[in-house]
Amino acid sequence: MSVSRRTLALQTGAIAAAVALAAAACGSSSSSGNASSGSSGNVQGSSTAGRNTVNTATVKQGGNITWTIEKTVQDWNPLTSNGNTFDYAQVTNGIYPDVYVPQPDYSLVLNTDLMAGEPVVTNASGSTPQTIVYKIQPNAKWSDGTPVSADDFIYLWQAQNGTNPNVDVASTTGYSQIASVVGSDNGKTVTVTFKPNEPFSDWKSLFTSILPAHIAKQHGDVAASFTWLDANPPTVSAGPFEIAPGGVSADKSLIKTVRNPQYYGKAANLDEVDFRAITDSTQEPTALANGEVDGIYPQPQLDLVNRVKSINGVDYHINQGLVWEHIDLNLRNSAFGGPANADQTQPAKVALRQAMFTAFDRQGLVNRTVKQFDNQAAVLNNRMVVPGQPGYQDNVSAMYPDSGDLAKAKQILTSAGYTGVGTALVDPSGKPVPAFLMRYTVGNAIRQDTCNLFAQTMKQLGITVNVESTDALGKTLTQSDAQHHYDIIVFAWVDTPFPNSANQPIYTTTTQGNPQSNYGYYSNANVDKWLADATINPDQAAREQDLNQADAQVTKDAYTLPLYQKPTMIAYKNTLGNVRDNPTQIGPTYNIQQWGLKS
Amino acid sequence: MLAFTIRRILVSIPILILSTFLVFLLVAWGADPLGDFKSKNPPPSASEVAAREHALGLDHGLLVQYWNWIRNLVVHGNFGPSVQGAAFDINAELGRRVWVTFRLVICAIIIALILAVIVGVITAVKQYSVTDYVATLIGFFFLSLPVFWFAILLKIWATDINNATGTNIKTLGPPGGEWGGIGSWAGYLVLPTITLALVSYATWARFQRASMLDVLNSDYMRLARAKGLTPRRVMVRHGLRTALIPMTTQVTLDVAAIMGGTVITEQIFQWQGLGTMFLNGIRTQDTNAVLAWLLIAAALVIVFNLIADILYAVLDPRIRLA
Repeated sequence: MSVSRRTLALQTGAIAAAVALAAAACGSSSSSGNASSGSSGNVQGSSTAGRNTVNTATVKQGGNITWTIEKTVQDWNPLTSNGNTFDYAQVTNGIYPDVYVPQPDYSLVLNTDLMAGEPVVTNASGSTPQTIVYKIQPNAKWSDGTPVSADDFIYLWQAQNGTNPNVDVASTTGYSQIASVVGSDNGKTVTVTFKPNEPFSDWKSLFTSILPAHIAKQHGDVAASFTWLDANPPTVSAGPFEIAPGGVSADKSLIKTVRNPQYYGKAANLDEVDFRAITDSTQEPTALANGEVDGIYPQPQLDLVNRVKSINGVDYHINQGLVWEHIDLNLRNSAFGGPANADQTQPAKVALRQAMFTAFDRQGLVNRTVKQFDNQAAVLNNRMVVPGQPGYQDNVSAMYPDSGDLAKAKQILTSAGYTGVGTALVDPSGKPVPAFLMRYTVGNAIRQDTCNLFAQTMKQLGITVNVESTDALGKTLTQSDAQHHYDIIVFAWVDTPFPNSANQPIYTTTTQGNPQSNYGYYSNANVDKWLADATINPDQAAREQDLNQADAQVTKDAYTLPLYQKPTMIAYKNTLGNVRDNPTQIGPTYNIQQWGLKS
Repeated sequence: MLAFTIRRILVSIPILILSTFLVFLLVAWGADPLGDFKSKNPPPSASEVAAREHALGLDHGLLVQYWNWIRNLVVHGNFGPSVQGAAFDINAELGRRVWVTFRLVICAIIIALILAVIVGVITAVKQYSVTDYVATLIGFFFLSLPVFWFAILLKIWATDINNATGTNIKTLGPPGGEWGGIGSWAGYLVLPTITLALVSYATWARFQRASMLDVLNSDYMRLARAKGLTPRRVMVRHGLRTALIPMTTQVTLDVAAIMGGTVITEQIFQWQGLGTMFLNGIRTQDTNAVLAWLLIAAALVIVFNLIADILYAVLDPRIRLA
């Protein structure tokens, strides 16, 4: 009984730290799943175009269901940096409406419950700025009877235009280019005028999650009210559902939403949709099998998919999503490029980068990983858009074959003057090519496999690649300190249905210390020009051409190598109708008012 | 006794501070609280990042950050802001979650203790009998069970039982810690209780068996038997009472460990207690939430150690604390 208390306390700290590290590994691995497409009990691989009608059914009025989310809901404003979280949006999608709703096939459909006709867009011309006129449905109102009006649009713009640093917003994209938002016609007409010379081609991404300005006004200025809306569950709804009285459990693990009786559009079929947080995705199939939840939307992994397959009375679908894995080179490394303002186009350096990408067997990687449970998993060959999005074309495989080409890679190196190809690579100036450090997110087994396969391939070129994990991807990407740096890295980007504005910060020339999303400091003047044009050009075909030109150039410059799309997976009781996967950022609840029990 | 207690409490304060400091450094060095935020696409601007760093106090050096945290805790009783969102109040969460975890643990401890004492006594009395061997085998089986595997197995069995018989055994914890009626209460508790109880039972049963064997072989037991007392009286009044003393202190020490060690059980059964708070804190690189958990865990260890020592002195007249 003479155990040292100091020892005990220190042991506690040590154990806590050990568990912390183990938990961090677990946490990271949950974001590492993989892709496939198909469906359940009666497996059906739906093409992108066919996704919008999967599980279309006649349903009856009434009924309650419980849908799974993977986080307890801590934020209620989908437009703040914390609130902009996929799982939170599953709850608020039925409460705060969007002007345009992303569909499962990546198209955008006008919310005709809310809007009275397509917005009228006047493109910029000379000094005349771009304008958009929105018409709100005359009967559109919040659940407390207050009309949905221009005030709500103005509030969103004021909060997200980036002029007030005290407002915590997830993004200012598009809103920062708006000069004014003006209401007329009793607030039912909204005129948005962009700044001169700053048109915005992805204008359909604007005015999502419309918030109640009249409630905001009761809680201080824009910054204060935006935060208040983040910290408090919605008190009013302009969507088909609203938070039930007392519907948020103390631990925020159960959110009850009920049909909004004041909804001005077609009423929801279900009486109630409850959202249950299960923060460990591996526990979701058992909860589904046990009837504690009616649907789940986990990141698929082999074991999880097999478990779902074994559940009776459940349908599942796996689709290719908008999240895609890729390998990036850090062009600040002098072997690849060099420090700021260095010439990244030196032939020997370009050849080295191209040879590395040429040699890598991406198809082999897909076969060993995601294809284990997704027979439609495929190599991705475009960085700007994914298959099914407008403008997709293969800009990669002609240069970097899906299955890799080791002989061709060696030939590229030899032609560029490298020696020691296949043994110990020496550059044309006689300097040994240094060993490279490749990083992956700790606990992410598939990324670890990717790194190991890449390193093995590079060894065959005579290049040493040392593989290390990182427990802080953000720090490593921004190279915030000496411990967090990389030469090569594997991670994922999340595309959106708005590629024109989303890709610009990833590939546009940036300055040292301020990489935006261009963490590897890639620089090409033409790419800058094409991506800038894509953000403003009103012509869809021209924008697609811009993106593909930029993508082809990035391929040629060998900065990033796209690998594959990560899959999404939905599973639900087969008594549910109109529930389907939506692999865009809006998720399955995009059509929650259509959900119902099959009649 | 009072002086001893006060001295022990005072000694525990620097231990607590040291442990929080170590964990603070480990967590702060290991992860960037704004890592997820900075990795968003499109990325936040430098001013947005700076504003968040300021709001969370991350714009200071590590030592200053720690000093601010400890000062805030001592002066205001506040564990600081969380990166998990505007509505995530660490103080309130702790207050609520302690009871969630406590409720989860208490049933398991009671069941495990009763089982362990019964089995420990029987196997000691019937040492090297078939009963002893079987109980020992079962004990070692439960001791060697990986908790996460056993818990998942239980959940799958429960699902099959529910589907076959219409029972309502839950695989998820009660949302908001709200039990519902007695049937619902039992439905929530049965699986995590079995998981936690069986592992503790196995350890304690072995402990009780060893303790009982020590007592059975002691001189005073022989004397009691020689005096002509009935075997039952010898066993219960003289044997068991003495053998329970080390068991009592062992269980008291283990309570803190079990409370702190429910991380896996809570995660698998989705109880929103201290364990899930800790895991979520790790996932979101929420230094303050992790520190709060550590402080509670460390405090529990110290408090229950103290209780164990005091209980030992109270139960065993040969021990006196000075």
